[in-house]
Amino acid sequence: MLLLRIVSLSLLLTAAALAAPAPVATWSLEQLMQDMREHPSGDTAFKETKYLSTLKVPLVVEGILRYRKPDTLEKEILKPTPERYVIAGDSVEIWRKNKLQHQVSLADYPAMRGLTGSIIATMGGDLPSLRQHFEPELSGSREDWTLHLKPRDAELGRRLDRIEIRGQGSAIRFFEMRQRNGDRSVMQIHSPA
Amino acid sequence: MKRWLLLLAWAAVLALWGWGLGHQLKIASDLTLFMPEAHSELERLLVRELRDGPGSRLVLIALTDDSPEVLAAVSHRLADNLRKTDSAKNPETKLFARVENGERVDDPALRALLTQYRYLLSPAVNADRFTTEGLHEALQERLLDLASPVEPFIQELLPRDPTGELLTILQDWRPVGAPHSYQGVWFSPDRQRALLLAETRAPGFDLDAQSVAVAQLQRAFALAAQGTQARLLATGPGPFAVAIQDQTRRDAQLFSIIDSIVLVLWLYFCFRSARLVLLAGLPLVSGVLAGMTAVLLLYGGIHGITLAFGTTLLGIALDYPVHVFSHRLPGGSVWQGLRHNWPTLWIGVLTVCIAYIALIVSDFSGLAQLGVFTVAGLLTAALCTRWLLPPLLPDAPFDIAASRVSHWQKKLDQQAPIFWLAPLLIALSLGWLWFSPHPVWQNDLSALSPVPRELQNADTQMRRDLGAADVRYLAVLRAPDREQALIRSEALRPRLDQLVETGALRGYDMAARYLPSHARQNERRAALPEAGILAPRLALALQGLPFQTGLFQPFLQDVEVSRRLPVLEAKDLSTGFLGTRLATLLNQDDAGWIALMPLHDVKDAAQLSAALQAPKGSDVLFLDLKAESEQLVVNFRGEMLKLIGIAVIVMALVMMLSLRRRQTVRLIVLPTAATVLSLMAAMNLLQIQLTLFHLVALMLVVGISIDYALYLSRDENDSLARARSLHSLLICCLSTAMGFGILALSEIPVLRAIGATVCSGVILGLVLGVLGARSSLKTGHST
Repeated sequence: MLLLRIVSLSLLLTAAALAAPAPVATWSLEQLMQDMREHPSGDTAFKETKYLSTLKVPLVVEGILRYRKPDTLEKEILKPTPERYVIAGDSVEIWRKNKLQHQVSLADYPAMRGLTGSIIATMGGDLPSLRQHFEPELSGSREDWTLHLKPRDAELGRRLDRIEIRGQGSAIRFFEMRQRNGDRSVMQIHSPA
Repeated sequence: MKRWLLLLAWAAVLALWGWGLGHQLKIASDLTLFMPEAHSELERLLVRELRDGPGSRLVLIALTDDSPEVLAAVSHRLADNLRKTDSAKNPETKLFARVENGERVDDPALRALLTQYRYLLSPAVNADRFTTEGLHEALQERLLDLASPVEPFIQELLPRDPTGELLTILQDWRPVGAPHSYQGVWFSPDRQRALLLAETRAPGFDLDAQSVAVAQLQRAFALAAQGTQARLLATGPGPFAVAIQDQTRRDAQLFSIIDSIVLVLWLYFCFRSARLVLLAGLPLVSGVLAGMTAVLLLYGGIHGITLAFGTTLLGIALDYPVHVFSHRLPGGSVWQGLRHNWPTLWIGVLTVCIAYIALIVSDFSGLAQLGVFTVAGLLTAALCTRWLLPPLLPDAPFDIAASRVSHWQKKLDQQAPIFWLAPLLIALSLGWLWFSPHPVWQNDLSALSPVPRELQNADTQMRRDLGAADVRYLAVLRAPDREQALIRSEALRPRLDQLVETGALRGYDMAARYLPSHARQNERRAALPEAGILAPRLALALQGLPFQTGLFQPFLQDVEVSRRLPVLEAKDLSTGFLGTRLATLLNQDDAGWIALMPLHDVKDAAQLSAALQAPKGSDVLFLDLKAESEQLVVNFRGEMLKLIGIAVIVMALVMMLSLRRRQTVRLIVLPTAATVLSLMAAMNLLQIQLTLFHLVALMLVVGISIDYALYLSRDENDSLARARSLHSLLICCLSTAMGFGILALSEIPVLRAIGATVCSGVILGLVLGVLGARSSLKTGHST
């Protein structure tokens, strides 16, 4: 009697385990954007290498990225020369020696939307903004994903070839921007120590 | 038979007259006619700026009531529609000189021009820039720029412009504090409103052109917002003026109709005769037509506001026929009754006319028109009543003994007049006005504005969000020609920049920023070294920097070309929004050239004024539009009060000469003074500040009070005669009170002011007169 009971119970449990649906990996662009919205990146350290056609050697800068909702990104350069860039909404401010050096509006320079549109929209989980300027293509898994962005409008696409963003979970780790003329900018991002 | 002929003839004359006038009539809509005449240089500039200054053409547009994405799309479509607007396919007749919503408007011609002329236009160009050290410093900065977000733009221009002149120019031109942006168009920081800025070609004071522009805006919006729930809100001097005009016209029409109906019913109720009501209207219509003719003859046209107010003020011309109707003696001919009453009536007419002559001689052309209209109208109405009305009256007079009024009069005759009432009220009112914590007079022109408070607040908010310049402070320079104006403005820049640095103001604008003087351009050109010198310096400067070799060949070529460029002229920059902006900031009048420099966000006006005007030989004027316009109002009011004082003295003299009795004069002056002063004190108690229009209304109250007092203070032998006076006064007072009381219901502050003042004034005047200033019956009571 007892044996019968044990056998039927274990059969029941196995059946139940088999019948319960396995958790489906619903990893998608929408899911990524939601993750980014729920876990804003805050402050991160970066090292950027720029390969430009006008320069003989690559340009290397290091510093801190500060993201604040909904669309403000501050890029503070610590090496080689202290500088600060504040991208807020539509304006880009360039600060040198604690003085506002330049202030430009993205409306006048759509070419700059490459950087701001992509990384800020991604950090902020703003899918509509991202989709407005780019065609996003997500691959990989939640732990290790890659987002390819191709520019949508002709103005932007004249210069920009594509953007590649890689991340783990809700943290962006890698950002690469390729221009059509061969120029390239590669940024490695990690949490500050 | 003769009676009917006369009536028909009169009516026919009026009809023809009216028809003839209708053809000649030119109704002006220039709002500045209703501003005092400018005397000093400062005042002239002030009026000029209020009419046509940098701010008067701006239209601020907000789109609300839908999601930000939809609003952004509507903003985009609306801007497109507006930019394509032109009424005759001719760029000269485009309604909007520029429309900005945050999107980049492609103006390749301007960009090319700026690039070509960058070495003459850039404020950073000087000899130091092109030394080896200067070049090295600039190149190091460019290296930093390449690390920045603006890198793509820098890279493109780098070979031609390593010193960054184009960016410097654009930076200098960009107003500080651009609006918040979302999806490429401007938004308020909370993303609830999409914002646009438009500038009309037509000046702010030209109401007709502004109406056309506003209508076009609404049509363009209707197209752009199809299928959405978006709503349009347009503010700015033009839209406000159009709204004011529409509202004034609507109110004036509505109230005239209501007034006419009420008065007709009231007169019928009093006299029970449709014929009398009709006859009462004839002198009034004659008066209106005479007033219009007088103004047309003297001024060539009539202002819409004058017509509206004048017709209202002439409402008191209804009093004259009423007096004639009420004072007919039983059994005697009409002419007999008239001869007895005419002197009193005539003095009443004269005193009101004297009061309004004070307006005619004033400096305010709108009020002068009003004065001419009123005086001509009242005189005509009175004379028509004297000569044309009596033959038309029905034979049987109105029997006063049968009405209730004679009963009231008998009761009144049993009471002694309260003589101390008037002096007491005068003392109390003067005391209150002297010690009152609230200011008596309103100096702020914007308080007269009928624009609703919420709209004004919305306008302020939108200006803040858009960073659109508040137009309160201006620095103004005069010069004999354009070049001098530009040179003097440029000389001012270092001082202004320093003041910006210290925070006295946030920024400024001037024509010389966009179009440097020839002298300055030549200076810059002379600073450009020739190729043989520049090339080695550049090579030295490049040492140690990682730029590609030969990268800056285009730069060397461009500098060489720039050394031979002719100077940039005003006509080269005359198209597009830059052309309009330049024309606003630098223009000509018959005395020479004027350069305007709007000052944004001034934090310390006193410091600014001192810094700009104090230096010896400084020819800069610092204009605070708000303070100056208030000063204009104060000056004008002082002048008006003086004129009114003179008018009052003249009125007193006229009365003394014609009445020849000191006692009568006392009986007239005291209640009038008590009425006016109590009214002023009461309004001050209610914290209503008095404006110029209150003053106009008070003058009318003075005239009417004197009229009532004249009737009440007459020595009459019998109660019935006094009853007739009381009867006519009651009818007149109530008809005036109702007519103006209805006006007081208007939303427009000016109409409300006049309506409330005159309505309360006439009632108070009659009450005070009846209570305190009647002459007593000769039989029995002592005075």
